[in-house]
Amino acid sequence: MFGTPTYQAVFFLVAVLSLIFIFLLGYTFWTRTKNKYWNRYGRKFKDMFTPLIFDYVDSARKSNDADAVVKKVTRRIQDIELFIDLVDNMTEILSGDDRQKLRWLINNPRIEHYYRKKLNSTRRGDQLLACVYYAKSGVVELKVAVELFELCSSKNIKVAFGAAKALQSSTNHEMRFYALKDFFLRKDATELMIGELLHLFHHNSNPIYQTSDQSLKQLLLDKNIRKERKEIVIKYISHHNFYEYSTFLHQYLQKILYRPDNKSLIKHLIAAIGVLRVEEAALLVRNYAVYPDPDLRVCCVEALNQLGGEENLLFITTMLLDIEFDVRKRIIQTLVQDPDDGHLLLEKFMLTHLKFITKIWSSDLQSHDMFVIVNKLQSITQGIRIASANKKQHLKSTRP
Amino acid sequence: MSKKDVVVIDDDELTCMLIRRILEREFKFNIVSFKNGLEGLEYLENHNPDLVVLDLMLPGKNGFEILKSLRKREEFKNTKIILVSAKSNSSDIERGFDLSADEYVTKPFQQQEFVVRIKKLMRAS
Amino acid sequence: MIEIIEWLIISYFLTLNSVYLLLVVGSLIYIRRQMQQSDVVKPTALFKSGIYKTISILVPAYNEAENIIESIESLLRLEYPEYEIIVINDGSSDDTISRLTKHFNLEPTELFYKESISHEPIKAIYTSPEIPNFTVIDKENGGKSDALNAGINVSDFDLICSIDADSILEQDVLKKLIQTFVRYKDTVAAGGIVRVINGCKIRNREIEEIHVPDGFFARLQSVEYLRAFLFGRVGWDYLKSLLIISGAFGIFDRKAIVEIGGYLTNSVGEDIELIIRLHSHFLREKKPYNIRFLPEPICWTEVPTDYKSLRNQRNRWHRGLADSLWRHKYMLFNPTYGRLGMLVLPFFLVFELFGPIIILLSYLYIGILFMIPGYADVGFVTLFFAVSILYGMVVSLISVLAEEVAYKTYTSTKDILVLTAYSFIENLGYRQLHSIWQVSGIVDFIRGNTSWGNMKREGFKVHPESETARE
Repeated sequence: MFGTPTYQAVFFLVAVLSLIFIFLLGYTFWTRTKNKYWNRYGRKFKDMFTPLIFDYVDSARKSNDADAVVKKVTRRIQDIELFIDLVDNMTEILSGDDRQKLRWLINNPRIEHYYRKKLNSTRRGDQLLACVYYAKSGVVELKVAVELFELCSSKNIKVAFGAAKALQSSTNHEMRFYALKDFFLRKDATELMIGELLHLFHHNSNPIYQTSDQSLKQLLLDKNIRKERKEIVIKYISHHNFYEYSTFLHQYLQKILYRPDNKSLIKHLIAAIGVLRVEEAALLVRNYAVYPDPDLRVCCVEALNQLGGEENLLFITTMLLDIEFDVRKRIIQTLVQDPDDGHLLLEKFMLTHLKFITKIWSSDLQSHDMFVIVNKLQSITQGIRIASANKKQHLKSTRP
Repeated sequence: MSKKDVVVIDDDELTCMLIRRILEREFKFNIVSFKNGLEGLEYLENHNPDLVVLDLMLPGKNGFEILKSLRKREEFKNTKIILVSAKSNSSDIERGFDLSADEYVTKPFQQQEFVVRIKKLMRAS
Repeated sequence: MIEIIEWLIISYFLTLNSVYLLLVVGSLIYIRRQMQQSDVVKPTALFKSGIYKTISILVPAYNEAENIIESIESLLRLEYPEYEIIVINDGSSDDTISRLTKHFNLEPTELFYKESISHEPIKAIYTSPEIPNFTVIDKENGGKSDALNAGINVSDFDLICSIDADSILEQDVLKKLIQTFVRYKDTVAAGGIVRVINGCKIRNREIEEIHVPDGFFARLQSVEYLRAFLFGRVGWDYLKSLLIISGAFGIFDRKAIVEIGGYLTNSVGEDIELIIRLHSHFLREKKPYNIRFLPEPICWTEVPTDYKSLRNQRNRWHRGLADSLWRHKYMLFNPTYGRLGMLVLPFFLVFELFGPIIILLSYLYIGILFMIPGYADVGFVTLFFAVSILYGMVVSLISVLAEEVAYKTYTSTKDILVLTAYSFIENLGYRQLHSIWQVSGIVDFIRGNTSWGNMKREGFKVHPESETARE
């Protein structure tokens, strides 16, 4: 019953086995030899060019002094890539005048021309190489910018990302912003890419723009941009202390409605409001502090603590009997850390409730609910004691 | 006057090359360099150079640990140690000086500035 | 009747090996695509824009006095902006705790936390005044799960990372794994590739060269890890059906773990059981979740090199699988649990759990055939060996090839040749032997055996010059 087809199956499998075996050996041998060769090549290249470039940096006076060095680099793609890579690594070590001279090397017309051709090519690999180059060298000419914008709408996410990054090296602020926004609208962009691009956008900003520019507002107001991405923007704003966004964030929080899909966005806004000390928003935050979501309450406690002031701290203290342990713990931690009134409020709290407990103990009104409250109070007291002790210990150990 | 001894410990080849170049050009130094913190430390068990140029982010032992263990020893109390690092936040710089580094140079740096700082250190010894 | 049996046997092996083949090939394609994407993004940008989560690394330690200091020192060197290390000394009988106390100048302290998951009592908690992100918990012995549960309670960070005390981690492992959590929202658990460290040149807990080990069993396991653990898991991850994250390294969302009640302390396969329970909980609650596998090498662990330790380990793993599936048998063929309940768990039940039984019975059948004169159908026997052994060799060999194509981990060509040779040998006796161990695991499970056994560890040598991790 298992006649000839059986043997066919066996032969087939043996054949596949042998083929894979041979392919494996061949492939291994070939790729490893290839890698060894290119590693050695790269080494030799570096050994030859590093002193040359260092000499150039010491002796160069004007930008076309770079020609002499660039001429020595052949037109092979590997050589040019190695050269650019080497110079780029050097720009991370040297600054000032020395770095300017290194930039003359990168921006040398001969090299720029080479990558311009790659930019106009239809092959993805070439386009990517060009994008990486322009990110390092800067985008000055309009023609290059236009071409890069074309690539931003490429179907391939790698190319689009590369082009959007390259455009961040442009000196034209609007161009950089539009590249950023277009990328934010892409469906296939990941949060990692968004974060990196946002950082490049800000990092490359002209110092003037760093304080007065409010272009990130447009991103937050755009309906087509996903909430997760807006959260990244808000986190970025708070991480870098962009105080000029304070009023805007307050207004944004006022307008937004509390819905399950907005919860995360609201938490990010509240966190930012805390970090940026947007005091006018305190009332709004206090409103959110009584919502059912415990994470939201923790967020509000943190923010109110950063906003500071007697009223806010007092409000936090009234939240101490919260149901959730995490909320209580955060309250205790924040109040203990407060340099002025925080721990006084905690002391007052403990005293008032101590009286309450002794009253309960002495009367006969002991019920399950009372038991729960007493447990909670005991836990809170313990927390306050531990937090204060740890704070003192921390202060002790940071003294010289 | 005898040549001074310098030990450079940095895992980045380019930085190492650059520092060597600068030191060879501006000063008459005997330079020994290492890429790995442990190797460098081993060498320093038996040698006492006049200057140590130390990177912070090293494989093996990191710069702070090496600095700490050097300063603990008598013979290194007066050796000039200069830290070179890409880490430029104030807490790292503070920590470096707390651990008695003589100088802290952040990358990227200007060649001239580096030279001036070393000259100042060598004059003080 | 005979024909039905024979058809069943053939189709079993055909299906099993074909599924593995699909997993390996699919994984390779998936990995290539992932790697192309990953070299576009720089993880440092994550930290500059503040998008990352805080991580607590939990290190349960039982009689790890020899290695613990070195292990912690290497963990302190990880590249990550905000993380902490919590060592849980699980009632060691050696001087683990005193060595830690002396080396790190530990001082007793009190911490405020909620005991969300119960565990054996904690005797004391220590912190180091010099190192802010390091905590040591000293508790009564309760087993690895119990220790982890204690760590989970004390931790205050977003994610927890559970590792073995002797796992060696790559320096950028946290940076790599956090990307998974950022990219896929609602990720509750993530694991990565665990590789065999036997045979590698280590220096100061950092890996200098990667080689195939020298020992017979260690080499077999190298091939096995590639086939079953590396590519197998990536494949399952691609199908969003990952069931196993190695106990040697896993990162979990802390709140999610607390929500499901932490690790089970009376289960032998607590790592599998946890993952299945996570699936069960989130599918039942209809909450979105993700359990992912990062196809990048992140952790290195020592594999047993002698027969007895290996046998015990595999016996235990199989008991763990049986235990976990038994506890969650309500999920089988239950539409509430979607693809996992209808397809993946049944697959694991039939092919992974009961597979060894079927395999052994098949060999038994062949044996009987040979003993009865005239009955042996040459065709059938040939086909049998083709789909069981030859096909298995094809799959093992493709795994080695895929590793070479995707990662090129092994330094020298000789290593690849050794792996190739062993991918043949693996199918000529090892896998059959493995099935015997697994069946004994099932027997032991039914009998109620819950011991862990001891693996003979050589440990890592603490020498200043490079040295191969000894066999």
